[in-house]
Parts: sequence; C-alpha cells; structure tokens
Amino acid sequence: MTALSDLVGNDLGIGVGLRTAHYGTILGKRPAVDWFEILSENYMHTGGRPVHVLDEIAARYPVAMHGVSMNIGGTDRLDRAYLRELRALQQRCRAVWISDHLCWTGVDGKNLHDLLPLPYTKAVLRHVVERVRQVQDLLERPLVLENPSTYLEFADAELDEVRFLGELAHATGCGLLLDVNNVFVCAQNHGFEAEAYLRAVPWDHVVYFHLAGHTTYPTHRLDTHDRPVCREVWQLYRLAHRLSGGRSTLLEWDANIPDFATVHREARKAARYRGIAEQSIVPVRA
Amino acid sequence: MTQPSALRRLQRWFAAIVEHPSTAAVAIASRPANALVKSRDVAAGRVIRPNPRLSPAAMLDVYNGGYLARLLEVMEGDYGASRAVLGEDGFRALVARFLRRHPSRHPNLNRFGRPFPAFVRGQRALRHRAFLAELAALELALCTAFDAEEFTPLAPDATAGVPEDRWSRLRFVPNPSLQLLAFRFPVDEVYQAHKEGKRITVPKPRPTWLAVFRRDDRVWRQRLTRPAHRVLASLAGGRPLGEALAGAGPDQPVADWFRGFSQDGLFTAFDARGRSARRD
Repeated sequence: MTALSDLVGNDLGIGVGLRTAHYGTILGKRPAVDWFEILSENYMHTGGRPVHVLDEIAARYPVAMHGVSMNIGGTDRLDRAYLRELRALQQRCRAVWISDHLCWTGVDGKNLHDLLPLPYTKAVLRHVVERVRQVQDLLERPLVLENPSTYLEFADAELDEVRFLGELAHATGCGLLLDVNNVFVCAQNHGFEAEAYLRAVPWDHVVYFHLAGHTTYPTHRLDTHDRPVCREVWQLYRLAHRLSGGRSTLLEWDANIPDFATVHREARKAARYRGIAEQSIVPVRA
Repeated sequence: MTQPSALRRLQRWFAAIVEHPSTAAVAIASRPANALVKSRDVAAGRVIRPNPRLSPAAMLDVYNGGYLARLLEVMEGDYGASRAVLGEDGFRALVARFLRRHPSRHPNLNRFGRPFPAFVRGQRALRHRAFLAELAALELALCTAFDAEEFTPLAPDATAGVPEDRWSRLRFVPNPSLQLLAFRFPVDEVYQAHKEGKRITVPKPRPTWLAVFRRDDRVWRQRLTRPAHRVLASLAGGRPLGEALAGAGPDQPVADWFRGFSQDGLFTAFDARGRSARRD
C-alpha cells in the first residue's frame, strides 16, 4: 500500500495537463516539462494512438492520473470494473498518483459527464468516507480528491467545503488536490473568503495544486479552463505555496487550447510564486 | 441532514433538471422533477441556498445548459460530416433526441455516440435518412478504428517461407481495427469533400465498398471494388486464401490486392496448417 506521505512529499515541480492537440510537439520536441497529468478516461477502453503516445510520454516524464468519472459522491454502487481499469492504467504508465473530484457524476447508471455538487452534510460525509475507503482498498493507494468548482450550495449543508474535505481526509487518509482556481471561483460564487479557506486546509493531506483560467459573467464565475490564470488566483497560489511549504503544481487548459509553448509558459509563471527562477527547468529524463 | 436515501432522491431530481431539454425553470416544474422535490420547496430556498445574484433556477441552468452542450461537442467531433449535411440546428435537434433515447452510461465519452448510425436509420421523419445513416456509419467506423485494441501487423514478407503448395490453405487473422463497409451511397466521396471543406450535397445512390483500418496510429480509408471487398471479407472471416481469392471471379488482379492488404498491415497472424486461424 502506497503511503500518503510518499505522495505529499513528492514535489514534482511544475507540470502541464496532457492534451491531444500537443501530442506532436511533445513527442517531436520533448520539451523540458517537469511532469504531465493525464485525463484517465482518455486512455481507458482504447488501444490506439492515445495509449501509444502515453507509453512514449511515460517513458520520459513523470505522469499523474486525473479522472472525472469515479462518482465518489454518487449513490450507485461503485463501478469496480472502472476501478480495476484505473489501477491497470496506473501500473501501465507508473502514475505517481490517482486523483478525481469530490462530486457525483451520475445516478441510475447514467453518466452526466459533469462534476455535480454534493450537500456538505454529516450524513453525506459518512457516505463518501465509506466509498473512499472502498476505492483505496481496491487501488491499494490513497485516492487524491479535488475541491470542485460549484455554482450552487444546498440549503441543508452543515459543513463548509474545506471542513468537509478536512474531515474526509482525516477519516480516510486520502490525499487532496487543491485547485486554487476552484477555491477562487467558489469564493466568488458563494461569497466566502478564499484566504480563510486556504488557512483552513489540512496541508498534511495536500498532494498537489491545480491552476487554470475561468470566465467571469455578471452573476457568477465559470470554471472554463480556456484562458490564462487570473491575477487573483496567482496571488492565492502564492499564499497556498507558502502555507503548504511547496507542492507539485499543474496548469490545466482544456478549451481554446493554444500551442504547447504558450501553455507551458503560462505554467512556468508558477515558478515566480514558488520563489524559484522561471528558467530553472528540470532536464528531461533520457 | 441528508441521509443516503435522501441523497439518492436529491441526485435523481438534480439529474432530471440537468437532462431536461428546456430550461431549469421548466424542468423544476416538470412532473418527474416535482415528484422528487416539490417546486415550491425549491422556490422557497429550502433545497438550494439562496444567492443574492441568482435564483435557484438560474443556478441550476449552469448545469442544465452544460449537459447538452458537452455531449453535442462530443458528437460534433465524431460526426462532423453528418453535422455538415444536417446543419447546426438540425444536428443539435437530432442529438437532443438521441440523448433522450441513449443517455450516456459509460465513463468514456468515446462510447456515447456509438448507437448514432442505428438511431439515424430509425428516424422515419428524417430527410435523407438512408444516406445520413450510412455517412454516420462511416464516421463511426473511423472512431472505432482509432480506438481499436493494440496490435502488431504481420510483416509483408511473413509468409515468404511457406511452401507454395500450402499457400491456398493459408488463413489470416485480421487486425482488430479493420472494418469492411458496403454502402448504397458514395459516402466516402462525401466524407472526403467534407474534409476538404467543400460544400456537401446529398448524392444519388451508387454502391460503394470501403475498408477502414488503423496503421501507424493513423486511420485510413481504402476504397475497394466489389470483388476486392468480397475477397478481403472472406479472408477477414477466416476463409483459406485459395478459396477467398477464387471468390473474386475470373481476370481479377488478386495477387496485387493481396500484396496491398499485406502492405497495409491488415493481418496480424496466419496459420499454414489449414486450421481456422485465431488471434492470440
């Protein structure tokens, strides 16, 4: 069983989310990226070019897995076939960790392909704790869960999100993926203090950070991953970095995707806030 | 306090809102949603915490609008030529109907659109449905060839050491990406026109035959004559080489075809002992 401390203490540096549009550049130019995060489902149930590219990339860079379909907050039975495939993929690409989201994604066998919000009640906490334990037993490693972007809160919530995550982490020993952009988006949408959220995070469970851009509407913020990280999120990242003592950091860019150099340059901005020179780039493994 | 059974009820309600083809406000008042959570409770802020900038329906609209948009984007990626024929509005309406009949049940979105050609074929009121169903079948074949399991193609000279008197008994295993298609319309020409950015018109019926396969991580389309299609179908079905080639009829360049099939990596194994070949 992999220990949480092995994940938390493994600062891989600054990574980029692997996207199909960049396959050619990454395989052809082998850019000096510290690590890549893959979208797990893109490499499951397929045997074509995606897995071939993944094999090539995993041979040269550290890889982490990030999923969107575990349905950890769902009420259908956990999909054991999905979990077994997840584990096989982890072994294939030697992923350093497996993450997903604190959310539900479907009910009655339907997959809504969205990260849907949970009521943060004590009963729901017990429900999710039990499911996280089952997943960790099957994966034989701590699951890493991300705070989602949400656009509503339930009236019967008894805990705020960061406390829910903290109690979940303490009860299960799971890791946390702190998406700094999501903290900001939720703070704006629900009217709480993002800095106070960060100060309440159980840092000994935080394995890595996500950064991304979002879209501002008159009534709310939408987590779109289609533009650079905004100034306020960078400022929060600076605080998160200081409070955590340093964690692996990853930039996501999923829509209106620019060329790889632009995405990588945006990711490398994180170096400013980590107190290291931007040109200090870890060489690619031979 | 939300108990697991209450959570399930809440999630069923939320799903009914998200999946509803109209707005969240209409969905909240709909019979299925109202049977799970009373619309008056939603309006009174007893389900969703009040927000000074957004009504409960407006907050739910963020999720409701995203659902069809997300799956429409997937379908546009898989069925771009079909969309070009139907137009944006026609394609959107058809996908919305498809989604109600075939909700996604698989973690991988690549699987979502697989029943689409059969669904199109069954749409009696759809103009040009026979042609559209074939065009969608070609686009589906391209997707499934891309996702087919990994394989190592047989080297083109792999059978060089087989004694000549055994050649007719050779049986081959097709590579798992190979799909043989027979159409009533020249859909590959239409697909090619779409790829080249040309305006698409619905063609008159004309039988065509096609092989779709993956080689070197790219998906290829190979137009075939009817006899060549028949030979390749026989080989892919495990018939012995001699029998398959004889099925082409007289005066056909069968040796050239077979060489081409081999060079395209369409086989992964052969059996020279006359038994049915099996893939490992």
